[in-house]
Amino acid sequence: MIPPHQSPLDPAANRREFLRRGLQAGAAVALTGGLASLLWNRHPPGDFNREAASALLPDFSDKNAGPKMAIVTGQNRTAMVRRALEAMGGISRFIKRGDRVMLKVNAAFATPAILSATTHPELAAELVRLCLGAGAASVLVTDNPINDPESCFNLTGIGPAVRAAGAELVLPRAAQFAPGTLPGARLIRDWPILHEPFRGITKLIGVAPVKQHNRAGASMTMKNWYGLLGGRRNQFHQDINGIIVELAMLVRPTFVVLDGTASMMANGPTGGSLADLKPTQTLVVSTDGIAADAFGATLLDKTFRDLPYIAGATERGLGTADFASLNPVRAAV
Amino acid sequence: MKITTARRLTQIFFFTLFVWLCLAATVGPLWWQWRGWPIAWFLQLDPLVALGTVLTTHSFHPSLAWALVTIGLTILFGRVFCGFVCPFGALHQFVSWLGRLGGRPKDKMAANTYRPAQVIKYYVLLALLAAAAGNLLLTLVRASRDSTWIALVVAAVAVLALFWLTLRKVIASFRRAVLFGALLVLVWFGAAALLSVERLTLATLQIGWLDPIPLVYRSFNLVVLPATDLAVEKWFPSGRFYTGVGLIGALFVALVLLNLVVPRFFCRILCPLGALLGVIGRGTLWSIGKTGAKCTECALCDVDCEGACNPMGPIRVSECLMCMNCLDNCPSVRPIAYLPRPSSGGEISASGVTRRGFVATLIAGAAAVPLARLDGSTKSDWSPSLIRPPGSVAEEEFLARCLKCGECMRVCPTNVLQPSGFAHGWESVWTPVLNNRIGTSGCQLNCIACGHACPTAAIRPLTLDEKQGAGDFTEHGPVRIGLAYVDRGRCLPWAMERPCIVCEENCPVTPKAIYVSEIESTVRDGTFAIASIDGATVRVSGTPLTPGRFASGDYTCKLPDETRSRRIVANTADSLTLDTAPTAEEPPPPGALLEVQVRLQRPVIDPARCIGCGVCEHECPMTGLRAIRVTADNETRSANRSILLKGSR
Amino acid sequence: MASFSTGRRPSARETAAASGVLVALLAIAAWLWSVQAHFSPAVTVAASAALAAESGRKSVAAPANLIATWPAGLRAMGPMESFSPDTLSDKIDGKAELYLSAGFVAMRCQRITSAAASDAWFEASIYDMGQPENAFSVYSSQKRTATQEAGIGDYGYRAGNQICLVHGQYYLELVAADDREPTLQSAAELARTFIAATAVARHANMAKDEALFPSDGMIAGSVMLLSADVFGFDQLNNTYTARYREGKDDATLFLSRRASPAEAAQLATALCDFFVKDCGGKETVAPTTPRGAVIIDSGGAFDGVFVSGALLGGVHQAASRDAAERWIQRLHARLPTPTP
Repeated sequence: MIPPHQSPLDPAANRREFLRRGLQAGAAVALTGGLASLLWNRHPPGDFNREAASALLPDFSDKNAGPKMAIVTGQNRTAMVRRALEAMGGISRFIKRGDRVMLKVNAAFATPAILSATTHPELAAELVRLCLGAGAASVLVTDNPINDPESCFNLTGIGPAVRAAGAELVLPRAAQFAPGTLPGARLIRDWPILHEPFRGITKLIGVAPVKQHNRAGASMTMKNWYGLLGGRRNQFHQDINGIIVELAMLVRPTFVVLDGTASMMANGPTGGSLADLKPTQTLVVSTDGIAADAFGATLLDKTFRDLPYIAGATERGLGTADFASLNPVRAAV
Repeated sequence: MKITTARRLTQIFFFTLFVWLCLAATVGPLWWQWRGWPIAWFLQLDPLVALGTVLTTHSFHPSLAWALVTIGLTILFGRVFCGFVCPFGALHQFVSWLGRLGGRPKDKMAANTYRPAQVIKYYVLLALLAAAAGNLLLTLVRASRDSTWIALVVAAVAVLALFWLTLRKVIASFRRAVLFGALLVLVWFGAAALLSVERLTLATLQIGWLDPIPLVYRSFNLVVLPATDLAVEKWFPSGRFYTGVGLIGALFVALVLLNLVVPRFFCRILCPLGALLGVIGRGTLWSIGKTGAKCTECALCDVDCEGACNPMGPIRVSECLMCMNCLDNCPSVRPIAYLPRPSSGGEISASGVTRRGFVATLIAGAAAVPLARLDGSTKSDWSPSLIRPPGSVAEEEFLARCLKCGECMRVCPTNVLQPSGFAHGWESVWTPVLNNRIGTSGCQLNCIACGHACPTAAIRPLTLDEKQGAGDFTEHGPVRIGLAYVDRGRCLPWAMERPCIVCEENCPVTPKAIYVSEIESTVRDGTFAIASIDGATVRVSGTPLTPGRFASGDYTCKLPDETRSRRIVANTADSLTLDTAPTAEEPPPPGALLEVQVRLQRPVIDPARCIGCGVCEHECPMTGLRAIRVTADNETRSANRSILLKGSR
Repeated sequence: MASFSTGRRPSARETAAASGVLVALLAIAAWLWSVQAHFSPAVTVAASAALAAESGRKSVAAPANLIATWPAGLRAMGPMESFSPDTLSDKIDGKAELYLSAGFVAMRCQRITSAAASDAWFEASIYDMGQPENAFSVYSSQKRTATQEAGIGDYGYRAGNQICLVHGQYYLELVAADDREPTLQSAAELARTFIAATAVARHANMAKDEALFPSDGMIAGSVMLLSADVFGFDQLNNTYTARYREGKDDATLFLSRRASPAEAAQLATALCDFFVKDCGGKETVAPTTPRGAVIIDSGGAFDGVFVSGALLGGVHQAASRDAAERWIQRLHARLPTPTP
C-alpha cells in the first residue's frame, strides 16, 4: 500500500515520479513484446509446412579391419560366443574403454528361455560381461516386447541374468519414443522410434535366436530391430518385408550375434513346444546382419531367396546375402 | 465532452460490433455475411487467451498479436479493456444499472464498496494458469537436464521469483531465506532427476470456462442467437441446434442475473481476465487518484464506482475498471482525476491473495490435469465418438489450444459441429465435436470455415488443397477426420434385405469411399405358383400380393428353367408384369413355381478413401441409431489411430 | 449511472481525451471496413465452390497424377493427361473405336521415369471401361502373341517392352521405352501400386461364361471377349472366343449369351446367312447333335453354329466338317441344359 502523501502538487517531484513510472511501463511493454517475438510461431503442430523433428539412430557400424563373420558350432552358448568373438579379433576390437553399449535382445514374448523364442539369458549375460570386461562404461539392455515388458524380461530370464552381470535394464516407456522419418523410407515416416535410451550410446549389439516366422519367413537379427519401433507397429505386418528392409536402413549395429544353438523350425515366432526346435548347434557373430541372416536361413533349411527382405536389403547395399564371400572364420567348441 | 459519455459510446460501439461479428459469422460473401470481418477479433484482443496458449504451447500464435495491444493499453492506462471494450463487461454494467434505477445513493454506495470476495478472481486466474503451465514446467526440466547453463538460469530466475513473491515475506532473516531458496533449488533438481516428470506435468487450456471473451462468444453463438432466431426466423433457415445448450445458457443467464445481487458480480468476483489485467495494470502509468486538492470526503465518488475500488479512500488500483464515474460524480473542483502519478489519497496494490492460498491454488491447478488424465482418455481409452473438425491438431495439443469459444460451431454451415458435453471428459467440455445426427449434413467436402474461424489454430486454417489432398498436398492425401463403418445388423440391404444405397449415393469423395457388393436374393415368401403366362404378364395363384410392392425396379422374377431373372415392372394382387416376355419354346406348366428376387446393393467402405465426413451417417434412413456411423478411427491428426499402412493407401 | 452528475463542465483536457477516444473508434471502424472487403479464404472457397456447383462443373480438382503416391524410385516425367469418349481419338487415333465400342468411360495416362535413371521411362495408360467384362474385352481383343505371365492384376502379361493387365473395370497398358529388366520392373511396380490403391468391386475373371469353354486343347490365354463385329459380322457382339489346337489343326470356339433364346435363335440364323452369303459358304449335312446345329463349308474352312437356350455357340474355321462337328459337340456338352 502506498500511503497518502502530502506534496502532490510539487511539479519537480511529479516529473521525476512520472519519468520513473514511464520507464517502468515502457520496460514492461518492451518485455512483453520481446517475449512475444521470441515465442512467435506461425506453424501449429500437424502443419505440413512445419519442419518435422526427426529422431534417428546414429551409425554404430564397426569400421575396424578384421573378419566380418565367424561361425562356431557347439552346444555351450557362452563358450561359442567367446570363441566367435575371439575369431573376429576379440571383443576389444569392438568395445573400447569408456564405451556405452546398448544390447538389443529379443525379449518379445513372456516365454521361458528353453523355448528359444527369445534371446537366451546366458548368452545375453555373457555379452554383458564381455563388454564390461573390455572396459565399457555401461551396458544397457533393452527391447520393446509384444507382451508386457516387465514380465517378458522376467519370464525369459533375461532381466535377472543381465542385471546380475552388471547391465542396466531399460524397460521402454512411451516418453522414450520419438517420431522419426527415415530418409528414403516408405514406412518409417513420422513413426515412434525408441530414442531416449540411445542418448550417449556409442556401440550397439543385436542378439537374436533363429526362428521361423509365419509372416516374414524367418525372424533373426534383422527382424530383431522391430523391437526398436513403438506405436501401433502391428500394422507393419501388412508389409513385413518392407519394414525389415527399412529397419536395416535405420539400424547399423556394431555387430550382431545370431544364436542357432536351437532353431525354431515351425510355428514361429512364438513357438511354444520343444518339438518346434531343432538342435542346429551353431552360433554366428557378424558385423553384417544381412550375411548373418542369410546364413541363418540355411539352419532353417531355407536359402536367402526364401526371405525377400534379404534381397531387399542387399539391393540397397546394406550388406551381402553371399555370406561365403565374407570368408567366415569357422570353429567348433 | 465528458469522458463518461465517450466511454458509453465506446461500450455501445464495441458491444454492437461484437454482436455484429457473431451475426456475420455465416460463411458467404453477402453484406451481412462473413466476408472478411475479423469475427474472432475480441478473442484475439484477449491477453488471457494469448497467455494461456503461450503457457500450454510455448509458442505465440501470430493471430493473437492483438493481445499485445491490450497489454500495452493496460500498462499505460489501466483496465480500459474492462471499462471501455469488453462486451461482457458492457452487458454487466447495463444490467447492474437497470437493476438499480432509482435506487438510493446510500444503498448504491454499499453495493459498490470493495468486498473481500473480489479476491476470488485471482484464485480463478491462478488455478486456470497453473493447469495450463504443466508443459512449461516440463520444458524447463528437460532444458535444465540438457544444459547446465540453462539449469542455472532457470534456478536463478526461480529463486528470485520465489523470493520476490513470497520468501521476503515468509522469512524475515535474509540468511534463512537464502538457505530456503537453495533448498528449493535442490528439491527442483532432485525432482527432475528422480521423478518421472513427463507424466506428471501435463497442460490443459481450461480458461474458456470463465474467461469472459470466450464465454460471451460461446453464449451468443450457441444460445442467444439461435434463441433469438426462434422469434426472428431470419438467420438460420433450418434452425440451429447445439447439444447441451442448457448448461451454457444457464451459466450465462446466471452470471447476468447475479448483477442484481452484486453489481458487476462477474467482473469483480469471478473474471480471470479482469484479474490478469489487474495484475498487468498494477503499476499503470495513468490511473484514477486524488490530486491533493481539497476533498470534502462526501463519498459521492464511491456511489457509482463500477469496480468497487474505493476511489475516495486509498484506491485499489487493480480493481479500478476505468468507468470514470467518480470524475463525473465529484462535486468539488478536481480533487479526483485521471493522473500519471499515484493517488495522493494512497493506493492499495495488494490483491488480497494470501501466500498459502497462492501456493495451494497453484498446486491444485497443476495437479488437476494429471489427475484428470488418469482416466486414460487421452491415451488408449480415447473416445472414438470424439470426431474433431478437419485440421484439428492432435488431441493433447488440441486441449492445449481450444478456447471453447464456439466460433467453429457458429461458422459451420451445416451445424454438424457441436459443443462436446461431459461424455468425452471434463477437459473436452464445450470443445467442438461432430455430431452427424444434428444439422443439415455432415462435414462438407468444399468447406474450410472452421479452421479459418479458430483464433488459436486448435483447428488449423487449411487450404482446400490441403483438406482434399490435392495440388501440393497430393502426397499427404486428404485430411481424414474419421472412418465410416457399416452396422450390418441395422443396414437395410445387409440385415433386412431391402434395397437402399443412400449412403453410397451421398458419398462426396471421388472415387467414392463407399462401394457396393451386389447380390440377388429371393424375397421372404417369394415363391409363387404360376397360374398362366400371357406375354409379359405372369398370373400367380396363392396369397395375394400387395399391389405395386415389387414395382420399384429392384425386384426380378426368376421363371423356372430360366437362368436369367427378368425385371418386374408392375404387379397387381395376382399378377407380375415383366420387362420382357418369356420366350421359352414351351411355357412352364401351370403350378410351376417362380421366385421373386430382390437385387441388393450392400454398402462396403474403402478405408483408403473414406475421410470420415459423416454425410453418409447423416443421410442414413435408419434415423434412430444410424446403420452407417463414423468414428474417429483413422483420423489424420493422430498417427497412432491410423488403421492402414502408409504405403498401402 | 450519472445520477449524481452535477452538470459540471468538462475541462478542455477531458474533452480532448474523450474526442481522442472517439477518433480511435472511428479509426477502428475504418480499419474494420477495409478488412471486411478482403474475404476470408473460407469465404472465397465457399463462393467458388458455389459457383462451380452452379455451372455444373466438378469443383474437386482432378488429381494431378496418375496415382496419389509414387512408388519409391519413380517420378512423373510429364503431366497427366485425361481423355473422355469424345477426346480419346486425340490420343489413340485409329484404335479408339475398339475402346468406344466396348463401353469406354475414361482414360488417363502419364509418362513416368525412374528417379535413378531418367532414360528409363515408360508410359502408363489406365482405361476405365466401366465394367470388368468391358475391360477384359479390350484386353483380350488386343492381346499380343509371345507373352509371358507377369503375375500382376488379372491376366497380367508381358510382351517385349510392354505390360498389359486388367484390374476390375480398368485395363492397364504400360509401354516402356526399352525392354530392359529394370524399366519393366518399374512399370510393374507402378501397376502394383495402382492395384493396391484402387479397390474394385468385381474382377473380370468372375465372368461365368468364360468357364464354359472345354479346357482340353485350348491354347492357354487365348480366351477373348469380342465386343463388336465378331468375325466381321456386324450383328454379333459380346462374344467369348477361345482358340484350340488338335494335332496340327486349329479352330476357334465361340459362345455368346443373348437376352433370350428367341434372340439367340434369330441371331444363329442370321450368322449362318452371313457365313453363306458374305463368305461364300454352303451348308453341309446337319450334324445329329446338337439339335438344329448347322455346319457351313466356307471353302475348306468349316464354321458350325448352334443354340442352347439363350446361348449362341459354335466353331469358326475348323479344318474339316468332322472336326467342326466334334468341336461343337464338345462345346455343347459343357453347356448347362437349356430351358425345354
